[in-house]
Amino acid sequence: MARSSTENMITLMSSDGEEFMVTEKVARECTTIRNMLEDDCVITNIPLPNVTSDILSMVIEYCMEHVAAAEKAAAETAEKGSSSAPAAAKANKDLEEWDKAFMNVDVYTLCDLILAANYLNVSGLLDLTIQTAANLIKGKSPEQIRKTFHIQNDLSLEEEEKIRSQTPWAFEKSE
Amino acid sequence: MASTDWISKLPDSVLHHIMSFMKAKAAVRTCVLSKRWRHLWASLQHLHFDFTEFEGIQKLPWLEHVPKYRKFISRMLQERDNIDVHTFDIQNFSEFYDDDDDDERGGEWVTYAIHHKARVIHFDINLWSNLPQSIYTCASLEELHVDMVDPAPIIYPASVSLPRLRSLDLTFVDHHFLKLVLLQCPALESLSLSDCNGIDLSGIPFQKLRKLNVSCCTMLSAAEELSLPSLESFMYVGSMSTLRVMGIESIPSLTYAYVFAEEYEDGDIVSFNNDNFNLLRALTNARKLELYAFEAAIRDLLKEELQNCPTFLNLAELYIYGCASCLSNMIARMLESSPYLQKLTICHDESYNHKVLNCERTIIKGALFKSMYIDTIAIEVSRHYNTVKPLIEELVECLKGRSKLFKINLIIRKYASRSRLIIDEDFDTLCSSLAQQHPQINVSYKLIER
Repeated sequence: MARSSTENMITLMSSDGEEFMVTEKVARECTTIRNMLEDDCVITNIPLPNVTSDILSMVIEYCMEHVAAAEKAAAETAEKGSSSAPAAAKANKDLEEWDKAFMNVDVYTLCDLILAANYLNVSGLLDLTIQTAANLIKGKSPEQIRKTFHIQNDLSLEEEEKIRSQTPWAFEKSE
Repeated sequence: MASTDWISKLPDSVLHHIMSFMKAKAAVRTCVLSKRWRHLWASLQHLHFDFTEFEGIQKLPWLEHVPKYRKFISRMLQERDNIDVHTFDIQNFSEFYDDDDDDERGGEWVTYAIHHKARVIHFDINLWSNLPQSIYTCASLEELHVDMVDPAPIIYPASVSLPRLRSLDLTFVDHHFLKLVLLQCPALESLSLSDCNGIDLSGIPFQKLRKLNVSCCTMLSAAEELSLPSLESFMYVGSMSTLRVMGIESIPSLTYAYVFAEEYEDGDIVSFNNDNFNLLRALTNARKLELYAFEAAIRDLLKEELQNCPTFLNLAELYIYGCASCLSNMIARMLESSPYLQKLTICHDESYNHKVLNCERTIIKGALFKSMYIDTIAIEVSRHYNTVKPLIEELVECLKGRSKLFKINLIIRKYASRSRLIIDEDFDTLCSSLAQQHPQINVSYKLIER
C-alpha cells in the first residue's frame, strides 16, 4: 500500500479490533484524524471505536481512490506545466462514475457509511452519502419512504391522522 | 433477516443534512413517517420553497394553487421552532405574482429570514417596494440572489453594510443602487447582473471578485479601467457596444470566459475605433474560451483583432459557435495563436451565414499543427450536415500527414421532423472511405435527439 518509503504509515483500528495500515496522506482525508495528527504528530496508532471493520475498509477505499485521483491530476499538471482541462474533465467524470458505483449499496450500509463519514469528517464522502440518501427519499410517499428505509411506523392510525390534521397546510391534496 | 430501521438511528444533525436537500413540503411531510421523524422538520435550517411542489399532477390552472403555496410558506414559518435559518429560498413564484397582498407577505417572509440570521437568501418575488431595509445591513448574509421577471420601482437602501456577502445576483437595478450596495461588500467573490441599465462598474473595488456574469445590461462608458485583480470567470451576454465600454482592459487571473455578444445597438457603430478595447487581449489568459460569433459585429471585431492576435499560452479548450465557413479564417488564426490547445469544438449554424457570398473559403490548412496537443475536433451541427462536409474533408486533408491518432467527432442535433433528411448513406460512405484511406483519422458521428 505504501507508495514511497518516506511516507508515514498510520494504523487505524476498527471497533472489532481489525487493523488497517494506511499512508498518512490517506488518513488525512479524514478531518477527525488530521486534527489528531496535528495535535500529536508522533501518533501512529489510532483506535476508532465507532467504526466497524467492514465500514472502515470502505471509507479507506474511498479515501485511497480520491487521493490517487488528486495525485494523478497533480502529476499531470507538473508534467505539462499547465493542467489539461479535457483530461481533468475526464478524470472528474471517471471519479464521479467511481463514486456512483461505490454508492451501489443497501440502505444499512449507506446509513453506516453516513455515520462513519460524519464521525471521521470525510466531507466528500459525507456529501456523497447524504445526497444518495436524499435521492432515495425524493418524490416518494411516506409509505414508500418507510419501505425503502425499513422505517418502523410506531404511530397508530389515529396518531398519524392527528398529525395530518395538525399540519393541514402540508397535507392538502395537490392532485 | 430482521429489517432494522438504521436511518432513524442517525443523529438529528445528519437527518437534517439529508432533509436540507429536500424541498420544504417534502421535508415537512416526513413528520408522519414515525415518532422519530415527528418534529424533525421544525428545526430544519434549510428552507427551499418551490412552487412546483404545489402544482399537482393534474396541472390545474396554476392560479388555483397559489393560495396553498402562500399559506404553506406562512404556516411553516409560524410553526417551525424559533431557531436560525441557514438558507431561505423561494422558487418559481414570480411568474404569477402580482398582487399587493403578496408583496407585503413576501416582505414579511424575508424579514423573518433576516431576523433568523439567514446566510443565504434567494427569491424571485417582485418585492422591491416591500423589501425590508434590514436586508442591506444583514451581518449574517453570505449569498443574496434576487431573480425577478419584470422591473419594479427601486427603493434605495438608506444604509448598507454586508460584511460577509460573497455572492450577489441582481436583476433590474440601476447605477445608483449598485454603487450604494457594491461599495459596502468587501468580501464579494461572485457578482451576477441581468437586465440592469445605465450602469458603470468602474471605480468599485472588486478586490476579491472571482466570478462576474453580465447579462443583457447596458452600461455607461466606464470612467476608468475596471480593476479585476482576482477574476477567474467572466461571462458576458449582451450588446457589443456595452462590452466595449465597460472598461475591461486585462484580466490577469482569468481561466474561463464566455462571450455572446450581439449586434450594436442603434447608432452605436460610430465609436468603433475610438476606444482601447481589445476583446482578445482581455481574454488572453483564459484556459477555456467560448465565443459565440453568430453576429457580424463580433465577427468583424475578431477579424480586426486577429490581425494582431495575442498568443493564448494557457488556452486548452476553445468553443466557437457560428457559421463554420464564415469563421474558418478566424478559427485558423486562433489555432495558430494557441500552442497548447487540446480541444476544439465548432458549433456550426449556417443560419448565421448572413453574407453567403462573402464567406471566406475554409482555410484551416496547416494551422492545426501549431498545437501538438490537439487530438480531437468536435463539430456540432443542427441542421444539414452537408454544410460541414467541406470542412471535414479539409480537416482530413490537413491531418493525413500525421501519424498520431486524431479524432473528428461530428455531433448532429436531430429535429424529429427532419430526422429522415439529416443522415443518409452518403455520409456513412464518407466515414468508411475516410477510415480506409487514413486509418489514423477517426471520423465518427453521433445523433442527438432534440
